[in-house]
Amino acid sequence: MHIEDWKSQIKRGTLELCILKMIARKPCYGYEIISRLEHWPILAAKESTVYPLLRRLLKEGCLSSSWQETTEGLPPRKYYSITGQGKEYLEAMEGEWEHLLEAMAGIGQDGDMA
Amino acid sequence: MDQKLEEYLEKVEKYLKPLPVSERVDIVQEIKSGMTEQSNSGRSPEEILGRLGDARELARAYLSQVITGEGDRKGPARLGLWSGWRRICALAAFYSLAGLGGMFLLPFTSVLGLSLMFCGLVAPVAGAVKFAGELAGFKIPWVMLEIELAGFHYQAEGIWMLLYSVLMGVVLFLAGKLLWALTLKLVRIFGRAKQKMG
Repeated sequence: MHIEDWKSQIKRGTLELCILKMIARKPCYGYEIISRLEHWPILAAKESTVYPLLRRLLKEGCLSSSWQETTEGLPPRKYYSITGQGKEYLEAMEGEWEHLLEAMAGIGQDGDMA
Repeated sequence: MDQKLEEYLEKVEKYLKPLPVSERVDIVQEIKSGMTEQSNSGRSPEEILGRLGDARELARAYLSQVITGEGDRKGPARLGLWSGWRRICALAAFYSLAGLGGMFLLPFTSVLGLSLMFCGLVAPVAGAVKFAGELAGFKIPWVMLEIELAGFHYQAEGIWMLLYSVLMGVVLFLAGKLLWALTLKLVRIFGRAKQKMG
C-alpha cells in the first residue's frame, strides 16, 4: 500500500482544476494560492509545484498576470486572473470532473454493466 | 532580507540561466515576494527554505517546461530555430540538475538524436551533389556509398547513389527523431520525479 503515492497522483491531477477555480472567483497571487491550498492537507502543495504550474497556465493563455504594489509596505505581488480561454478550459475540466464523480458513484453499485 | 534567502534566490537565478532575462527576473521576483510574505507572517528563514526545497529542483521544474515545450502555445511539435536553440541550452543546463540519470542518459540520447537527424539531412544532399556531379561529368571522391559485407562488395553509382542516399537519410532522420522524443520524455520524468508533491 502506497497511499502517499496515490494521494500525490490525485493531487497532481486535480491541482490545476483547484487553482483555476480559485483564480476564477477572484484574482490571486501565488502565496495566497499556496496558503489557501494548505487548509486542506489533500491539496497542500509546495512552491516548487505551484509556481511552475502557474507559469505554464500563463504561457498557455489560461491566465494573465500583473504586478501590483501593496499598501502595507510589502513587496509587489504578482496577481493572476483568468482569461476567456482559461474559463473555457475550466468549464471543460469541471464537466469531466462531473463525469468522473458519476462514474465513481456508479461503478461500486450492483446492476447491469450496460 | 535574510542573507540565506538572498543566497537561495541567487542560486535559482544562476540555474535558470538559459531563460531570457525578463522571465528569469519575473520568476525570482515572485519567489522573493512569497518569501517576504512568509517572513512577515512569522516564519523563520530556515522554515521558508525548508518549504522551498533544493534550489536545483525548483529551477528544474521551470526548465523542464521550456525543454519539453509544455505551455508553449505553439505546442511541442513546433520547433522554431530560436526556441529550438533555447531548448538545447536549457537541456544542457538541465543535465547538471537532473542527477546521475540525467548526467549519463540525457547527453547520450540528446546528442546522438540531434546528430542522427543532422546526418539524415546531410546524406540526401550529399547524394544529390554526387549525382549532379556525375551528370556534369566529374567525379566527387569524398562522397561515396559503399556496402561491404562478408566478401560482398557494392558501390552505388548514378541514380542508385541518389536513391540510396535519400533512403539512408530518411532512416537516419527517423532514428534521430525517435531518440530526441525519448530525450523529451526523460526530461519530463526527471522534471517531476523528485518533486514530491505536498
